[in-house]
Amino acid sequence: MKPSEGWLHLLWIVPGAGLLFWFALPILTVWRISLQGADGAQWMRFLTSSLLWHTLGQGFVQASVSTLFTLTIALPISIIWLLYDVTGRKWLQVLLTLPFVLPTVVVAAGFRALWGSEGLLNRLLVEWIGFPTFEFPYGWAPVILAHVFYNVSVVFRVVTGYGGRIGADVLESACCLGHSPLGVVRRVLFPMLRPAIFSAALVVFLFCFGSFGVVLLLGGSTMTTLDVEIYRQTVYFFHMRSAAQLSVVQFCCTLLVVFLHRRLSPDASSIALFQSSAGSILGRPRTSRGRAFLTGTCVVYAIGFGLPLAAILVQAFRTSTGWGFDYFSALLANDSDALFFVEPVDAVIRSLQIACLAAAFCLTFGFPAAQFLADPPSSFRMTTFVHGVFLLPLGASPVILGLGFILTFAVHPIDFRSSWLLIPVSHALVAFPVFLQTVLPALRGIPDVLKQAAATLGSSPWHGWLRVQLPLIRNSLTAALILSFMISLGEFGATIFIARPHVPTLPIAIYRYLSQPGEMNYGRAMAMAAILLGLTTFGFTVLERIGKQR
Amino acid sequence: MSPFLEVIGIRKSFQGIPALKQVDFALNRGEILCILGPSGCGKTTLLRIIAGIESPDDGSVRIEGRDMSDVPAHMRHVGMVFQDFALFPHLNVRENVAFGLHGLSREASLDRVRQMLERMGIEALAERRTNELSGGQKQRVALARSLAPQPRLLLLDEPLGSLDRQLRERLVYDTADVLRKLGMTAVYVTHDHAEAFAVADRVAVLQSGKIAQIGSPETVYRRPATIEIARFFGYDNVIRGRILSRQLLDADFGRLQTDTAVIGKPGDEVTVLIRPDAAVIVKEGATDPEHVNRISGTLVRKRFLGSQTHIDVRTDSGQVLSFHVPACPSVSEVGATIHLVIHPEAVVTQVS
Repeated sequence: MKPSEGWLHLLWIVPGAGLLFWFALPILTVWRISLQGADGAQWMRFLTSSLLWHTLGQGFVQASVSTLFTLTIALPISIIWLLYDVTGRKWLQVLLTLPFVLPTVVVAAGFRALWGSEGLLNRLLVEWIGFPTFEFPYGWAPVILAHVFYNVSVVFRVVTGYGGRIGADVLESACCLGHSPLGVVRRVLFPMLRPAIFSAALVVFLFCFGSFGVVLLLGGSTMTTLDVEIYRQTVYFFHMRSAAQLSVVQFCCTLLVVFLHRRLSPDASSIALFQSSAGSILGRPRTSRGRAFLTGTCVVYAIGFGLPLAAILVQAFRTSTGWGFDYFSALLANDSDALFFVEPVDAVIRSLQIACLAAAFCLTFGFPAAQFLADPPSSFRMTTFVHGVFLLPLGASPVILGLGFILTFAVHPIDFRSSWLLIPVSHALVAFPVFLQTVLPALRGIPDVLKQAAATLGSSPWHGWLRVQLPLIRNSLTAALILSFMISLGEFGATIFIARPHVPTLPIAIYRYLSQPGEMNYGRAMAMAAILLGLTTFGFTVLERIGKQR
Repeated sequence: MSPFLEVIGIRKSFQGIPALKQVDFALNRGEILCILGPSGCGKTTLLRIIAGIESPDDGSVRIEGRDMSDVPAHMRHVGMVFQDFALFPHLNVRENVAFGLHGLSREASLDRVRQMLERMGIEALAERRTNELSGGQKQRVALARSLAPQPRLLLLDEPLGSLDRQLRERLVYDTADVLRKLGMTAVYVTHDHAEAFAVADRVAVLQSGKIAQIGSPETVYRRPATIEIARFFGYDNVIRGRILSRQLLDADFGRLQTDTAVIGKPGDEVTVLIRPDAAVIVKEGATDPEHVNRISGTLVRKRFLGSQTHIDVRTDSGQVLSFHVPACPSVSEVGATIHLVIHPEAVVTQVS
């Protein structure tokens, strides 16, 4: 090692130490509590309890059904999108991929706006028929629907991102060898997409298995997942030990799926989630019948995916007295029922402040770490290990993190309970792996020859970094910052533990309003969801712009 | 008997920019036609239209007298070899070659694949994945794959374009041999005229969306129809001359004899091309009665290219002419006076 390279190690040691304190310590505290006084017999009781197996079983069935439905709905449209140029192609893509960045609370609110006794579907039925005919009860149906809505974007992104690399010539040569278009899809396109489909299916399964916000808001009282159960055990029953033990199981399940994912789909793991989309492989359909069929299919998808989002807007602006801004102006009033003690609009401002802080934390800790991992000193042998450690927050669900935070930092001797730092730090932890994985490929993608060329032109390493590397990764860095910002804005699982009653963030406020009866509370929830929807849509548009330039 | 393949009045534009303006040609059974042209002249588009991958804005393609407008690509029985080979990455070599075989029994299909692999000399690669193949091997697999279903017409789109020069020179003869042995009717697209001449029975030069010239390789090379074609073939010397008699021209630097009759009246101005590879350096004062077309001038530039030397000579009238001469015997130094004799066959007129 050159003597000047010693300080480079600070680039990973500082974020590593931060991770140790803010991530490892809370998680280990959770486990220490779960193990405290829990001998073998107690663990046996837990491992054979109906609580564990009911939760696991229902989670497994729910995730399998959700994944199956998601694939059934996502694959046809992904393949149409890959193959053909359809009118309104860009809009369809936006509509199908937007849910990917939407906070779970907004998706859940979208289905609350549709489903349930006060939902749009019921409201329309009552208006048309005059009396309610179907209850639209919370439970399996809205949960699966919301999961499909949310995860189609994942499959669509991964499959079209992967498929975009397939050259038209491969499909055309199959045509020239005498296969009909359907045969080409079945015999060439499908097998080539298989790693991406498999990889996407595992990711979707993982999301649905660990689903928290959607199940909490739409599942009624009977549905559960590990994350929801951890929350219920903590908040409703104060069974800290059960919660902690469940979290150990949850962690193991996540690691198992992540491991499977890495082992079974190495090809697809390199797909960038935000990249410029290539054109269609085959261009416009030839026959007018084909065009009509494809346009019809796309319209059906557009309506299906636009509906929950449109429902939020309709419910936010349509009061019992007609269209208006009543619910929005109600956000400025501090109500006498004192749900928050402050004006609800404060939650909006606070959320934005927290998101800025979380993005700033990601930048200050994540960027040096990415820089180090992209170009480690040649003597450093632990690059893969350090990288793996930095990705660990992906494996822990935000719910465990939140639980860990209150168990660790809200008690003596480290009492951060009243600190403004807690929420932004937890958000930064959740966003950290995403930030890293967005910046790192860009940094690694800079060819060495460019750095060498800069050096031969007389640039010092620092000057070369500033003039060559930084401009080349500028777009990715901006994208990573916006992503971190948006993750923080929508973060629900960790915040619900950490946020104190009088200082809620936007998603927590939406949740609390939705849990309260009354038309005004429901309306306010919809108005806030509309604001959050607007913010994330704006961020998404910027990301898409950047994606096209990258 | 009508020709095997007829391409009639094909037009195609992309976003308002014409790629093919009016393409007509016909091809007989068993004939190999090379479409030659600079990159971006519309060669690939033309091939894709014949294959049915692209549809023309106007005009039609007929195969064995039948109009193909309503026949989709997969029903045309036309094979195509793509520039980057387009091998299926999820299948191995054997599966790739077998891909186009429909309606054959398993044994027949295996047998055909074995035959094709043998013919290409790649039996040993049958179980390999396509990403384990070298460029030359991929080319053979691609050719085997497109030939296996016994297409009635084979289209090849720069099939050697992505290979290095040495490999290309070797494979071009192999490819031509295979096509001839099978009696395949083929359209071969390339931008490299040496490759085209090695493969083709006839060459069609495609320029700015039209076929500028079509004929045997020799005719097209020796008698380029336009100055653009001449330049494409490496004729550097384009000069003005005046007709003196049937086979004699007057240029600024002296008289030039041609071996074919010049069309025009004495006194008319014509464009004259002089092939760069047809000059011989002679000693000063050497007078051989066969030495017509003597040119003297100052050597202004000399570039050594291995077996050849590229020289620029400024004639007494100030015109600069370029030639490739053998590197042996060695050429005088720059600044020296040099005497050249040009073969009458290399003096070409009748270009437009």
